[in-house]
Amino acid sequence: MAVIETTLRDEDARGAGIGTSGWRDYLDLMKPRVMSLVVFTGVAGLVASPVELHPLLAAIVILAIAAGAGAAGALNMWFDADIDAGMRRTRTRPIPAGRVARSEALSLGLIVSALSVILLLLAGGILAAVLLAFTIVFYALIYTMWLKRSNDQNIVIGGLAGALPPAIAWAATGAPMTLEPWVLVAIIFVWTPPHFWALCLYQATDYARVGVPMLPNTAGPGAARQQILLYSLALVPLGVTPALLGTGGVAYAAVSVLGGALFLLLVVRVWRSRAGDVPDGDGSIYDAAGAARPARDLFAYSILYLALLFAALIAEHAFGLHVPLGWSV
Amino acid sequence: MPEVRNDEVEAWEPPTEAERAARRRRNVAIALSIAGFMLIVFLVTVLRLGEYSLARPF
Repeated sequence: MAVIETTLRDEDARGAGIGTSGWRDYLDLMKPRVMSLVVFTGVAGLVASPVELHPLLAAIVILAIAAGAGAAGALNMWFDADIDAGMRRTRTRPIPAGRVARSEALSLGLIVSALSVILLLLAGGILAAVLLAFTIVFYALIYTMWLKRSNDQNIVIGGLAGALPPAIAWAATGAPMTLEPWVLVAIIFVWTPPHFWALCLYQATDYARVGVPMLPNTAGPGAARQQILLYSLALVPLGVTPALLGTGGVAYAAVSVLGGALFLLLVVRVWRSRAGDVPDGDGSIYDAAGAARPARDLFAYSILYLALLFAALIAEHAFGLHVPLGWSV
Repeated sequence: MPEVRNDEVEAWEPPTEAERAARRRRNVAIALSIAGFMLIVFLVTVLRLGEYSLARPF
């Protein structure tokens, strides 16, 4: 039998590109902070479901959802490399910084997307897998490639992708898709516009420079502050709804009422401020000067607010602290 | 931080030792990831078979 020896030489990789990138750069491509939020809200959907999943299967379901979100993030960085290079907040990302080639981000995004959906199909069933595939396609195609560059409602509609993880996790348990998981989705969906527009109010110059239409630029800061108020007036009662449905208990009710009241206070402060009317700060995500500080405070608190809501839900269900309100509907 | 280079076929230069070492580390990471994925699929299969999931609609 003939033995065929093949030696791959460096020259054979002409045009493939080479660098010194390491695992950290590829992890950065997958937006680990977004992944951690997805894990958090996904775990909430998992523990709030009436059907209990084997702990190892539950961990694998969360891993698959996180990997899917990360893959969508890599596809976003592949497509948006030009925008990222022009914004102070994103210019140190792996592609604009030159640490990872665009083609590598595309490959990583496509391969991990496929593997995460396959894994969720095996571990969580067809509905969960279809929802995850929809989330990835919606984020990469609808939001990244279309809405983000063309419509100032980009983050409103695109926010659906980030909102779905609790429903995906709930579906993976095999429980019927009743109102409860969709309320959790609605909370994240309605939370996204005030969260992002608060950031845009003090980073508007960056978005304008790269031509991304954000509401504070297209409709003006005043309109953006008003929209933040309107969305927040819908968000806070929605945040309390899981307690009324019995998904959340007494602790959740307390956190959602008190946390929501503080959220509204900060929103009114932004609404009455001149945030967005003056030039931006020096570019750091939490740096804001003078009139923009209320917007910065709201942006920072909005993250804490959502984290507290879902942490309360997880704590109640995971540690046996779930005491439903007596008059839950 | 050295940037990605050698992505043009015409202007090719041999990789440096640092680039070769980084490539070896990436190859090991890919191998470990594939092995990890296979292990997870095996575990899921065992767990799902254990609860007779194949007998019910997915």
